[in-house]
Amino acid sequence: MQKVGEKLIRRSGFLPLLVLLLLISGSFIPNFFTFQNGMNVLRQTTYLAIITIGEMLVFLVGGFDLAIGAVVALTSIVAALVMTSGISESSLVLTVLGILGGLAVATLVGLVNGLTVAVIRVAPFIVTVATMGISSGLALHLAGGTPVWGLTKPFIAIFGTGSFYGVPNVVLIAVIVSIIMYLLLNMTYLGRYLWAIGGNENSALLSGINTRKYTVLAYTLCGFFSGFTGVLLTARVGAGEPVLGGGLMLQAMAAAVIGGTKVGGGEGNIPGALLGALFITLVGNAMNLANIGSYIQLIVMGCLLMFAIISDRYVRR
Amino acid sequence: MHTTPLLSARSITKKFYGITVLDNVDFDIYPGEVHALFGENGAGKSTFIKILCGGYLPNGGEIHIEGTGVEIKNPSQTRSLGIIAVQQDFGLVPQLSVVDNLYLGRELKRHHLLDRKSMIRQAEDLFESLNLSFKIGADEKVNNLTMAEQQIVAIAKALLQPMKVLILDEPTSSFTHRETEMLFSRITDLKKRGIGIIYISHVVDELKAIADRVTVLVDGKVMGAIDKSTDITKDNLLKAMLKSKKSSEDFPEVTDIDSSGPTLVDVNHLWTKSGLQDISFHLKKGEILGIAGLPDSGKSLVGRALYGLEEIEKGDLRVKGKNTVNKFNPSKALRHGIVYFPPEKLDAIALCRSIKENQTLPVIKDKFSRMGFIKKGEEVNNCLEQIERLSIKPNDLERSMRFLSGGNQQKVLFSRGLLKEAEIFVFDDITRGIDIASKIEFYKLVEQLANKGGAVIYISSEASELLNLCHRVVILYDKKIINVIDHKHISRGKLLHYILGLKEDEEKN
Repeated sequence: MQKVGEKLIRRSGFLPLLVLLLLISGSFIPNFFTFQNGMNVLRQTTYLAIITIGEMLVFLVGGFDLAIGAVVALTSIVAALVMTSGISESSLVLTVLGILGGLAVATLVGLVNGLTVAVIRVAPFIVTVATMGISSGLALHLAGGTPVWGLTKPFIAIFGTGSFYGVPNVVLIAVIVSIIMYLLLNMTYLGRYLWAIGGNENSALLSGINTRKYTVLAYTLCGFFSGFTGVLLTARVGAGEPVLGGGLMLQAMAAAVIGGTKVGGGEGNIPGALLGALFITLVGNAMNLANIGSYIQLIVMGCLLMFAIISDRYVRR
Repeated sequence: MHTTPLLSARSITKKFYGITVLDNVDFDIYPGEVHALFGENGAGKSTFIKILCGGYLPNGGEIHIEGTGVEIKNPSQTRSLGIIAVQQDFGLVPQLSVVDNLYLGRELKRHHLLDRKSMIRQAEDLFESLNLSFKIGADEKVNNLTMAEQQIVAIAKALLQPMKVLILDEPTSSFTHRETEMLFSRITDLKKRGIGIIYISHVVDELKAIADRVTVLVDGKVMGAIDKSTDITKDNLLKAMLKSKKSSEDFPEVTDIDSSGPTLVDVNHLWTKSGLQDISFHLKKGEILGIAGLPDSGKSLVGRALYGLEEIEKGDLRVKGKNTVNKFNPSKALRHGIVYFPPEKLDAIALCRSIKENQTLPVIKDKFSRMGFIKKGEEVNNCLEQIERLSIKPNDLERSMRFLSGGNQQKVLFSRGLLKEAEIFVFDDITRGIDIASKIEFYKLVEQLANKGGAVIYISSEASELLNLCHRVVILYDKKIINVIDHKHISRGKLLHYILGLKEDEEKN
């Protein structure tokens, strides 16, 4: 019986669970299988999906990034502050500058993480906990403890509430990002290198690969994607929030592992990450509709991560 | 001897993945004697000791302790049976202090708290009784000690435990004459107390000085036993080692190479940070150059240095005429046409990834990519070609490397070199742990590489390979080159003679 269960999980991953979840949600929630609700669910998934892709990249090279949630908050504040700074008359220019500013800061944090882990050789856990603290603190400090209001109208219109023939803009953006990352990982040698570094760093070194360079790249991209999520979330909530993205770190890790990314590196792909994000979002969705309190939801998310990691170890050994 | 042996091992057999590493080995040790185990690297000495210490389970045979049969299951059991071993790697925790290491797992306690005072006192008494020329601080961290001091701590750790049989694996590797004498006098004391000592060493002079009996192990079989200490001579030891002659039919014929051909690698007075001293040799196109030596002789370091894995202190390393000493690394080595196969193949493969990915890893960027994008069709075709040519099983490109046997994994590594179209192949112990059929295939492949205009550096611990496959053999001892012998003048006896570091004038043909 155990062997049958093992084989099932090994071959189909967690897909059966996802289907089950969809069916359960469908039976309890009215109008679940409508286009409108579908788009809602996808819109919700977008934010987690993009940040999960970033975290997955770091997992691939055998590391992890605990600062992603804090970077979301920092990005939010920096972007909002730039947008409300009034350095330009045009709201379009402010929008662009705000977005670039936020992304730049996030990417910088990723770069610092990467350099410290790969070049100075400090354990990812300590490094990213430290940058998590710094980013969080910086966000709160810059914001003065309160949200930053007054974001530009184009920003909120395009990235917050906007949609294209019924499909939310953010969903389209996420699709484009996913396609680009899929191509990058599967069609270029970059993906091979990342998988090789996580699979066996020594083997990558012996094959002449500059493992440091690509590890730094992975962390930097992760920072970038955290920033990307921060920008999109900020448009959604309509203000720069210094505590944005609180639960995302845990959820992103759970989504990555459920989606087949191995902690320790060497395995993981974009479709898996996306499905993992969808799964986590659906679970959160269902809990919201069932009126489960947010504290309990946190417990559930933690348990999901635990379950995901244990079954990953058990099945793949 | 009419008393019961302290330990008696009969018909001990050990197989790893179908390869017999120990074949019906008999060995016993009586109270008050030193019984030495002598043999080349890979002969099975360490495996045998690990079995006695509970590290491995034998596939066959029996062990008796003082006449009673025992089934050894784990190391703590052997310790409680009185079998104490000092392994080659000392088994110490570097970050802990001397005293912590000496009593690790057997700490002295007073009212449930660690009794450091007593432990330190006992340790200091022991060191004093050893009459050393230097003082070892009880609280000193082990990684601050010299190799010799660490070795003493490792031996002291054993001496503090109640024992019936003491196993010493190369115990004097870091010692000078003074410490060796100290150890020998201690051994004499232990003999008087009725303890049996199993002594592993490749230093013939030591065996002459301390051993009462010697068992010679070759390729996992007992090839000879010298029972009288007066019979322990270099001649007798070599005679026992040479008794088994491997058939040279397994090997392709070595043909002479064109000595006017180009020199592909030229090493001149090379010194590395890791200890290689004044290494000079050259490698010509079409040549298979063997490198032989004991495990610590530095032969692996030479291979690593050729691939940019060792820091070079001084000297010259020219590949196809270009000096590569500056900032040499694997990426540069690959660009110069060198591929390297490390002794531990697991170091070089990503187990969780597919065969295809492992085959193309060093070349995916330069050979199979256009503007970053992988030319998938070309990649697949080339990989299939390699699988066909080398008979890699299973022949599924996308299969994870996990499912391949050792021999097939090695073949995947091999195809890396072929896909790279490298000119210089550096192999280190590539046939270790591989079945005989695959070994023969490898020998043919290596020979083909040389014939098609490449050149091979073949580092190996198997004498038959060095004798039958190589045009010339470079022999290292103690990180220096002590001789280079042409295949026309080489013999098994000569090879072993130099590998063991015996002196020139005592060479026998």
